[in-house]
Amino acid sequence: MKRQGTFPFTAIIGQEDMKKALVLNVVNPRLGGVLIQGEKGTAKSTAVRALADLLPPRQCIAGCRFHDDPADKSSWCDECHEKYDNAEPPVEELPMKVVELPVSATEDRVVGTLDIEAAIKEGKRSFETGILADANRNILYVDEINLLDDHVVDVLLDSAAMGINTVEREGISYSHPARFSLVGTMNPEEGDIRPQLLDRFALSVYVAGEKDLDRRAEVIKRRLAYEDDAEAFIAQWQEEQKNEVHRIQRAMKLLPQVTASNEILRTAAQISIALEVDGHRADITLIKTAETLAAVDGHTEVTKDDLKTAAKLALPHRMRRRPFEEQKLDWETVDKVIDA
Amino acid sequence: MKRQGFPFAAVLGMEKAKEAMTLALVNPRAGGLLISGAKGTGKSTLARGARELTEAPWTEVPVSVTEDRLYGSIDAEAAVTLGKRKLQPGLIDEADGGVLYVDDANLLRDDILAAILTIREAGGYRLERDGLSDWRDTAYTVLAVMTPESGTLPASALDRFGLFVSVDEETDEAALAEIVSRTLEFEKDGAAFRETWTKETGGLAKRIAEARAILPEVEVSDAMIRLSSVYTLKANTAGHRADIYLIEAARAEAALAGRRYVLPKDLERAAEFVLPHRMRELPPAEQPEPTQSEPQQPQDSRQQPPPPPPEPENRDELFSQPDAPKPEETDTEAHEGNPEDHRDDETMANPNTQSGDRIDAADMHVKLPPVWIEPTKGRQKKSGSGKRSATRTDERQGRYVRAELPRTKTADIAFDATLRAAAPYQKWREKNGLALAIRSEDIRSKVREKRTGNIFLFAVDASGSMGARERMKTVKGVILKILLEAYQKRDRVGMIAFRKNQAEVLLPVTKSVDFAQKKLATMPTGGKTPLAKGLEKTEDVLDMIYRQDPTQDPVLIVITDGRATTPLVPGGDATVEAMNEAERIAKRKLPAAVIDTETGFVKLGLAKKLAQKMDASYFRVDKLSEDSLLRVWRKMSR
Repeated sequence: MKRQGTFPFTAIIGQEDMKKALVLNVVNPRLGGVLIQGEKGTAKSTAVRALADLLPPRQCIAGCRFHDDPADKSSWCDECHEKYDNAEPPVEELPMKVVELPVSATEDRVVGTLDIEAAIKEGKRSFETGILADANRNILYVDEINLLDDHVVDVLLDSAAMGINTVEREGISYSHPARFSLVGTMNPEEGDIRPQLLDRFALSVYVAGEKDLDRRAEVIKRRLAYEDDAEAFIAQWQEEQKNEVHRIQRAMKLLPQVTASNEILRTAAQISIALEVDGHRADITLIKTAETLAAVDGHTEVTKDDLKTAAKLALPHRMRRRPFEEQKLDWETVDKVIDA
Repeated sequence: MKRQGFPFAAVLGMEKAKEAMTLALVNPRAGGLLISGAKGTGKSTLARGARELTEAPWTEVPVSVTEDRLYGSIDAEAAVTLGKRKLQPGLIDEADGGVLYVDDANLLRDDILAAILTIREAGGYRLERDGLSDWRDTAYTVLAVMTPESGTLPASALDRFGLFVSVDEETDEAALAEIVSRTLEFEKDGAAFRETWTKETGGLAKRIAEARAILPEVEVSDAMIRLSSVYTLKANTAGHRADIYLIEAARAEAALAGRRYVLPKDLERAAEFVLPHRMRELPPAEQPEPTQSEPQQPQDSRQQPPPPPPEPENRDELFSQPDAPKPEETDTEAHEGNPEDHRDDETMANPNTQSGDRIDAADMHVKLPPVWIEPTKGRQKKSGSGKRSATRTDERQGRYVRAELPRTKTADIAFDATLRAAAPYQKWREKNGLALAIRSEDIRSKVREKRTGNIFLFAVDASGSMGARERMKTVKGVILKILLEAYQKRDRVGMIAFRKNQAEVLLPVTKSVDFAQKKLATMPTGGKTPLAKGLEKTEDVLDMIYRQDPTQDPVLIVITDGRATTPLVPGGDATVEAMNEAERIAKRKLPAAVIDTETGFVKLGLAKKLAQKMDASYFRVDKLSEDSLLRVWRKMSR
């Protein structure tokens, strides 16, 4: 049975936080990913997979296995350094991708390993890339991330922290760039996520089923229409999809010009202190998120509203939390600090 | 091997199960079917009989299935003879376009069942194993059967089945006699028996085929979509999947009736199969937290049959919830206070429950020392010679995560890694006509990872005596502390509660400690103490744990005052029975503890005796806070 085209991102009803968080990560690949939590059947995976259709093309070094950025020499792989340190690299435009890491993946496929065929034919030990190589400069998506084996989680955490995947196995010694936006989805009823992994996500959102009758019926109607004739349904949404792509591209162009005033920076720090969140990562993420929000909204100066929205996306999972206590963000405190 | 099974049409009764099966076969989008029922009700016979109703491929998933077989793995023959890397398709691939049948769904490893159901929903899966990388499209209908006595499914797996039906034992004498007579006839001469039912079975198959043919034309009006949302909102189902299943099942109903449009009655009939296993208590209005409530377990729905098909005119009453205590009645008052408060607690019956059940909040002030672990000497020795260590060595369960040089002779070969080890030397080796020469030094074995650490299994006495004074608060506090420990160690927890005349699995073994805490918070107490039954149920759950993975290390914690008041059999001696059950548990040689909740002047010391019979360590709940060390054994023989 053949798989149909993906459900259009713009046809997803509601779930605004989730859609926003995903778009922000496309606009700003350095943001640091998003964890989407919620009950099953709420279009979590659908939304992430649908994101693929909105991803803009970007410049890559032609022929590079890690699609290195020609403009950022510091993040090149060894091969590109060897070839182009003293020469102009050939450039090609490739769209960003959603690279999926299934929970059943074995380690060799995640980090990469010895290339068997090359070894047999030529007796050479060469490196065969794994999922982390594909994920470089892309979105790495893990469905049911809370069910991922500890072992694979360790590997992920390593790469996420360093931006580099180091392989030492089967006589292979290799390292390559692996910077990715980590996107995870999970149903908390099926198990908890490891705190270190949770920490890696810049943003977190919670989704629930639609409770409004009219909107719910519309959700179902669209789903049925899509299942009935995916092609026709997708065609119907083409215009919307195009607009969304434009919006994203415009925001990407604007992002380098966005600035946050000293006042905003100070406010962000105050929020972190007031809410007792851990470390500086919260402040930094808060600012980065607010900047990206400003770019999406089309202005170049971060506003207090941007900061408020950013707080909602970037802080909930960072609250220092004792087990079994509901995570509660004290929004009044946040608002008070921001409006002060 | 094509089995010549008992004909579907010859299975007597079980009309609902037959109808659900027909729907599942007519419309794969209805999400498959789970049949739940006691042993010997003929549900497996029925499900296997369905094989003859469809031309589609039929693939059976055995409980012992490994991940390699499920997802597919590298084709060893092609690799050695041709030097090519090729996929040997797994069961999930083979089932494409057909039926995937699971006979004991509740005995299948959680992650395997979850994979089967997730892949069905997604219509395919990413294979990243054994050096192979591929997207595989596959579409199948899941048919599964489970026996609730041997453990329930986690809620998350349950409601991934579109349809659910629970079958009861036949009690009608004439019907029973007829069943026996048919079975005997079949056993005497299967071929002849099948012959007599060919026409009936063929007729059914034809009906299904015809319905399938018109299914694509069956239309669903906007009004029907709205109506389906009314149902699912009333039932407070998680997400939107139920709506789709409901509509697709209704389309199958319409197609079977030869109609090309869906009527309310189709939805009503379909609702009976789509909603019972995913209904949840409505959370308090201001609290949109979905995990607060949980879907009904099939066990419950067996005891309280699913609501009858609704009459259109009183639809509102359809999903009236069972009289479960509501969360807002949870006693959240701080436990400190003057003694009068406590007396109030004791005497105040909950106005919303007929039985005087009550729910106590956990006492978060219970103090437990942070150290638990140390095994006592005698225990360790015993376990060393127990069955535990024997089953561990050549266990092939668990996820294959990577390969290593084998430490001993291994049967669990990691073929992909072995190939890689051998590959660089192929140019120089003698190959005897094969594409690859593999030597013993190339062999790599699989390193498998067990998903989590220990399992903590609680058996909690929730009888009326536990509700008295502060006991339940303290007990909940103690359990919470243990859960906290489990949370940090990524252990799994399960909970059995016994009270009145029954013992129920309050919480199937889960990794979600948060979820456990929520279940604990709303656990009611009241009624007599069926201690023996509670221990018997514990045995069942232990059985299931071991069957899923013999290398598991469950830790059993029984919390009771030991005063058994309800016997297993009428007229039996409740205490003697409980002690007998305790001795049976002792035979398993697993780390266990009894926490005695008996307080007051007159102490019977029954819990202590129970601990001795169970070969468990013994603690008094009121001493726990002072006890310098609570020893619960973890990691017995790592």
